[in-house]
Amino acid sequence: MAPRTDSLHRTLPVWGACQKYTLVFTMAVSPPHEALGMATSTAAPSGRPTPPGSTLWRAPYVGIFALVSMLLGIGLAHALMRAIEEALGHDLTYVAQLFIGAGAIVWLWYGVRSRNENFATWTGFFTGIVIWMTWVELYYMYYGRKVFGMMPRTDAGTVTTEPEYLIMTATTGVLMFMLVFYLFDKDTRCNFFVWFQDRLGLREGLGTSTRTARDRNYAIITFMETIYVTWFCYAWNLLVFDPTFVGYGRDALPAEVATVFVSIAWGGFCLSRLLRYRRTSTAVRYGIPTANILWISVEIVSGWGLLTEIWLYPQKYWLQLLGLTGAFVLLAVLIYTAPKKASEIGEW
Amino acid sequence: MVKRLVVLALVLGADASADTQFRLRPGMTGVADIGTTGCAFFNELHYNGPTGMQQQVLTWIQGYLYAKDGTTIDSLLAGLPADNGWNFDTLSAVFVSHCKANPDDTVAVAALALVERLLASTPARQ
Repeated sequence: MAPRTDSLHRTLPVWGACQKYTLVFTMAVSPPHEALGMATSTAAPSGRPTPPGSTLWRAPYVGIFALVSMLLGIGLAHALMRAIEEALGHDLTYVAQLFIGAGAIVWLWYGVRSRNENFATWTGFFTGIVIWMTWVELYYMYYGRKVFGMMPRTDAGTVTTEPEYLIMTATTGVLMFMLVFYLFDKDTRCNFFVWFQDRLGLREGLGTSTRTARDRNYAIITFMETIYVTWFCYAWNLLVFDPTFVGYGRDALPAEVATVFVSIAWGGFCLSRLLRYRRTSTAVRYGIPTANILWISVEIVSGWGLLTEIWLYPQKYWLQLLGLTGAFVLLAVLIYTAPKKASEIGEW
Repeated sequence: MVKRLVVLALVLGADASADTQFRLRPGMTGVADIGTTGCAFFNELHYNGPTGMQQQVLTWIQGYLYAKDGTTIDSLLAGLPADNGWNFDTLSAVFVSHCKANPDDTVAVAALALVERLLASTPARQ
């Protein structure tokens, strides 16, 4: 695989620039670690730092950083989408989302060609979020609000579900049958599906995976993971908010409380595993479902009026969101430039 | 005994009917009576579903006109020149802008603003 990386450097000047900036970031971030009295990372033969020497980039900190960054990422993605909508207006947003989504696919193309797991993972995560916001949510919004002329669902004088989410609820069946592929795919590495594969006695029938870690393309894996996890959690949330199933007002409370319970228990279980991670790329990928599952509680609790969803009002809470954006960017840069194992940066 | 049961049933029935109100089937969208909806809430609804809300109000106006004197929006427009400028968007813009400017009004008042404009622009009615 090494020759492919070399050819990548020759053919992709932008990727070369990414590598250069990575090095700059690493240099810029390293001194604070030393200033904090943390052991400096040991240098690998290639000159790159390796994780064992770092006291910061080890369990449980890697998992905590990954989770916080993913939680911030989800909230800020909401804010970004709403800010674009407010800045451009609905009609212009519908046009802009086509190009923003196309830009994300170009970025994904770079990630898919990269053998650097670290770059590929972040690329998959960011492009997955962007595609979800643009080609999925805004596309549904265009058809729901503009073309189909759907009205929002209301209850007791308030809008409870916007048209795009009414359409999305109807995609639950599509989601479920698409997840069947991952359930019956022998190369699936997702713990959730592997658990079911074991319980359903599929291990022998499916056979051993034909792919090793080196064969995996982490950009598209993370991209699809981000999309499916987001879709799954949306579907779950929307069904809990659907009066057809759970009723109105207080009738819906048992389902909402049960959802919060499952969300925190399941998300907490994932978090307990995430806290054991030492590889930042793996932690980021595992942080995506962990954060999304926990986020379901945030949505429900916000519905109870116990939280203010500041990410839905970017104009009103711009300063707070600016602070959170700064925190997210800093955390993402720290994780991206953290000492890596050779396998995380394409050096096998 | 029977009398007591009848009285009890009537009391319970009266109580139940007092609580009963027309609601859409659970899961359905929209509002049961768009005419009595306040403009402030309509503005929120319109932001979240412009095309659908405009259609709802235009349908309400169709019903209002037909109940009043058997006319429809189409029959009013038929009396105008072909390039009269009225279409789905311009018709809707009248009550949408009315509600934006008068959030304390009801949608019925905003809808009647459009009816008045239509009647005023129809030659046969002038």
